[in-house]
Amino acid sequence: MSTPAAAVETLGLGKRYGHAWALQDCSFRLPPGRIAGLVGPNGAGKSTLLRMLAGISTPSAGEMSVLGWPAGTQSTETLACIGYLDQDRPLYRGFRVSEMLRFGRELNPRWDDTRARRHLDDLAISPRSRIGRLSGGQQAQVALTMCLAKRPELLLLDEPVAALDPLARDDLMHILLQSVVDDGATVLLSSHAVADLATVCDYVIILSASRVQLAGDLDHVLASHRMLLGPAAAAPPVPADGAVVSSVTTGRQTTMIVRAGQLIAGQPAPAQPPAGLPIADPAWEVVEPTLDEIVLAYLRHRPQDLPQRPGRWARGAAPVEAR
Amino acid sequence: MTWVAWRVQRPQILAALGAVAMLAVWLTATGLVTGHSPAWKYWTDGDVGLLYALPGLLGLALGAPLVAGEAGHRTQRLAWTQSIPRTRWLAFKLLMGGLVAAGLSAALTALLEWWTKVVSIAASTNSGGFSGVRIQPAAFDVTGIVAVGYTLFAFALGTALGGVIRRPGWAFALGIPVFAAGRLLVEDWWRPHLVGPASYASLTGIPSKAVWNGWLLNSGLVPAGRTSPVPGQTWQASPPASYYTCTNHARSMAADAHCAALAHVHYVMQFQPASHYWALQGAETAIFAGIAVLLLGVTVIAVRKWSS
Repeated sequence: MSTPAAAVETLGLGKRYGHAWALQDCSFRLPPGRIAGLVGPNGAGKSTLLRMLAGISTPSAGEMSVLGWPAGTQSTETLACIGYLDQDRPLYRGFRVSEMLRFGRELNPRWDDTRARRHLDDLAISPRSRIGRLSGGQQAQVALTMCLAKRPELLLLDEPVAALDPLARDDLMHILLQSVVDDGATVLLSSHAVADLATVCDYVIILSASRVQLAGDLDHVLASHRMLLGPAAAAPPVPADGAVVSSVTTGRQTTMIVRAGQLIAGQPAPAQPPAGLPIADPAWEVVEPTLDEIVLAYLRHRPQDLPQRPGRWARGAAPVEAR
Repeated sequence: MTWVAWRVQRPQILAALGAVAMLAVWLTATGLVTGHSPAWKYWTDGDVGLLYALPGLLGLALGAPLVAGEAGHRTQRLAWTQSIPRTRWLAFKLLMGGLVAAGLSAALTALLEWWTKVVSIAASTNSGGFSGVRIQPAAFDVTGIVAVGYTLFAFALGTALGGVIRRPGWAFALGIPVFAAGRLLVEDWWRPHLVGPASYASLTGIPSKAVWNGWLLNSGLVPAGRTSPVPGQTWQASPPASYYTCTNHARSMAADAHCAALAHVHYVMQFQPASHYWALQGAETAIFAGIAVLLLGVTVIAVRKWSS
């Protein structure tokens, strides 16, 4: 197939369970060949989004295209291109590991049995073991192996590092980088461990309160945010085209994350971040925040608090209780 | 996919096979023992009636977990993200489960053909025991091909209920009354009319040999010249009062017959003769196979719409 302009593209995607929206108005565009991190608190809609992209959940609203195909395309060709790791790691508990691999071999034309067996061999997981007798971490590894052995063009991984020990996390990140390099794969993975993402991802999507708060290149995201530290009483020196993302006052000091320009989901990131975010107020110290700090700043806010346009920052500047 | 369908359903298939094998041993043993001597043939229609539940239990046990069993550990999310379209995946599973259910049911019916013959007693002895008359429901329901139809119906019912409510236990539990209701409705309301019944008329009310060896549907006193009650009346409608005044004094069969002739009435027995056995078997099997196809359609729709 020809390489599409975007590996994943969504427009106003939403999923409703009863009256509650698990995900709403989700629009973003993931270029191919990227490793994208999907971050957000529990219940933000990360798993819902991944399930819809994987084709096992039907969207209630909006449109999406995965590797250039419309939603819900059910053919051997399309399904073979998508690898999906569910958050529950579903496996047939009565199967032996070798039977689980045969399951994958029977159902996937591009199945790489050698790769799967080598991977499990490295992890000292015997093919004769029963799935139900394996530990949670080992089951997670088998599920991940099943997903990678498909040799998909798009990997949708829901919390892949959860239940993995630090060494296994590191190995997994290497495997993901390798598959991007070898197979030209695109990876979209969700995680709570933002620190892990920062080392491997080059694209970040922040979901909170069922909405996309931010989606963009990691470099752009880092370059267009600044952390300001200053006295609680002083007015913050927010640039005219910027906005306050979060503001936390502890005692006499206020810590805020400000954003330059619009990095709203669905809109292209600025080609060049504003040079240095000129802030010339001696009362304020300007620091480059880490991804962790930026993500936290977005998660602190409920959607109505989020500055959608310059000028609304004053409301965001109201003291927010520190935890 | 054939191997996958077999491996995923293996526990249920082996359990069903085991249950059928144990029953086969029991049937063989009782058949050999009670078939040996007429004195030991103590079976009644009610005893044999226990066997009616078998196709339902067999079909539901294989059908209810077929789709719903995946929901327990959410393995449908694994299956549906492999490189096989959902409908094809389902087709293989339905084919595997359906063939096993039909095969086991056919094997059991073949054994019951023999068993019902050896444990039955002659219909004309009128002892209240199991007569084994194949056109009568007690034997009809467990011989021939109709049980395979029942099993396919129960299997499809199990898959459809499982597909809709996604809980194997509930699908099984709910399937039992639905299966029973379906069977009884067809047996009581539809089967008697699937093929036009025969009638036998006599002045004394003594059945003929064909009636003994048939399935009696209705009998009663109706006006002479008719083979069914006057429109608007039931088979239980009373004859003219003069008939009873007359029979109160009658002391012989000939006198009874004379009374009936005087009152212009006769006994009519409406029945399905033994010769209708295969026509009824074929028609009823087709009915249940047809319902099964509709239910399998429900399963396919439920699985296609399943958003997890």
